[in-house]
Amino acid sequence: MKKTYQSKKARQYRAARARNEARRRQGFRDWRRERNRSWQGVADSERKTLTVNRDNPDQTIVIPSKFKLLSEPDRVLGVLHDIETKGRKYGSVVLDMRSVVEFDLPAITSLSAIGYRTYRLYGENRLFGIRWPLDPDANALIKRSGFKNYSEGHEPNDTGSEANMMADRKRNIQPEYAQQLANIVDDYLHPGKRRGQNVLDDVVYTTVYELMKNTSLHASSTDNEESWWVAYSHDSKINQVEIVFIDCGMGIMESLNRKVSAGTIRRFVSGSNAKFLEDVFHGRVPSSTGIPGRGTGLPTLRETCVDEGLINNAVVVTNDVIANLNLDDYSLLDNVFSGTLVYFRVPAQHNGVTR
Amino acid sequence: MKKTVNIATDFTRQPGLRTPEQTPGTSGLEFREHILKPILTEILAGHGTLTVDLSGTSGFPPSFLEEAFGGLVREFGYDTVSDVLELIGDASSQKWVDRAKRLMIRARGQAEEKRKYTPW
Repeated sequence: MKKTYQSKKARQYRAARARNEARRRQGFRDWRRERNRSWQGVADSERKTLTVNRDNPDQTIVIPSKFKLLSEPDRVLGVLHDIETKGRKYGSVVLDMRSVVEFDLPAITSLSAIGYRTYRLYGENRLFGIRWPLDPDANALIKRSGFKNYSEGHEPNDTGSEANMMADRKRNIQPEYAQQLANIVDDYLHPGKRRGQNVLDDVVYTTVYELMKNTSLHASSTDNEESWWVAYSHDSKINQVEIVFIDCGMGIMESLNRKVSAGTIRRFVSGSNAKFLEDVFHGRVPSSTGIPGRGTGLPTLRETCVDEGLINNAVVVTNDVIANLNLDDYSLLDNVFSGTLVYFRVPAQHNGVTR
Repeated sequence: MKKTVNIATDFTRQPGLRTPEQTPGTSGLEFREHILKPILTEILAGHGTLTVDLSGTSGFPPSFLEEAFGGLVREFGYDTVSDVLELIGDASSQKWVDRAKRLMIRARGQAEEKRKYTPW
């Protein structure tokens, strides 16, 4: 026979426990009633996104109407920072994108990359609840971008060239992927023409290849390789393809700071991070490995853009610095981007020569 | 003796990165050690030139060019290499020729710097 304690203390304990249990159940019933009321008249697909935030306004992040990394980097980085901190705290967030009218490829790709990483690290079931843009153009474009797939926590499978914008997440050094991307860019810029002998298609291949290598060798603080993201978009008005490459590793500045020689130069010669990154791109900082001949990747990216003019509008965002290579402008940011973002445009012609 | 090497046909159409650990079989180090260096050594023993054709590939990551041609300069010296080595390419690969020449000049600077500060 089960022994029941009849002491005063035991009775008080059981009563308190019952009260707490009843209170918890009542709280759940209240929450469910409110949720069911809020669901009335809402489509089933929409209901799923609403369940993420529960009723916590702290979990909602409002995306500004002009969400452009190239023109307003601090604002976009602020949103990314919010996603990381709130994602870490709550495991899920709601992105209120209803007011979004304009956005650019780097902003939406970095949103995907940071969101995906945060989801992998802290997400419970899904990271994002999304309130899609009310503006029909922005709504259509953002849904076509593949961002929705990442927001639901699985890999994208729609990478068809039909889409105007595509984001892809990969790992390791993959020359085949770089070649595939170069072919896609060539098809966009020179539709219906024979592939292979274009002046510019191999520039995409080599630039992306080099960026993959940097991610693979330098981005991760652990033994695991960081994944990288590539997104592209074709601007048919001026017939240029814009490409964004992102890794969510430690960033160029942090990576160099860990190396003794480069860290010393930053502290005693360059001073600020912006000046230091300028020195790196101008080839004035010796290789972090100390081996002769190393450290050619970043200066060559600048040469490709500025000296050779093979790519345009190259912008690099890493840690607390944004660098516009064409303008030779290196500025400090208020918010920090934990990783490296490289943006550039590929023109259809180089010095008037198409192929 | 005049020798010609076409990277696309004699080595790979998709040049890789710097070392075999990064890209086995297509790295700049392997190209230098297995193809360029034996021919160059043979030429330096007698007389002749080596022509390297950079056309026909998917493109050259800078680390491949640096390891292949910059490494050659560091090993044999800029003057020796530039006397016998000629880099050529078609219109679309002329940019790789220019880049490889720049990297060779940069490697010369590094080699001189190293010599200057080495006490023995």
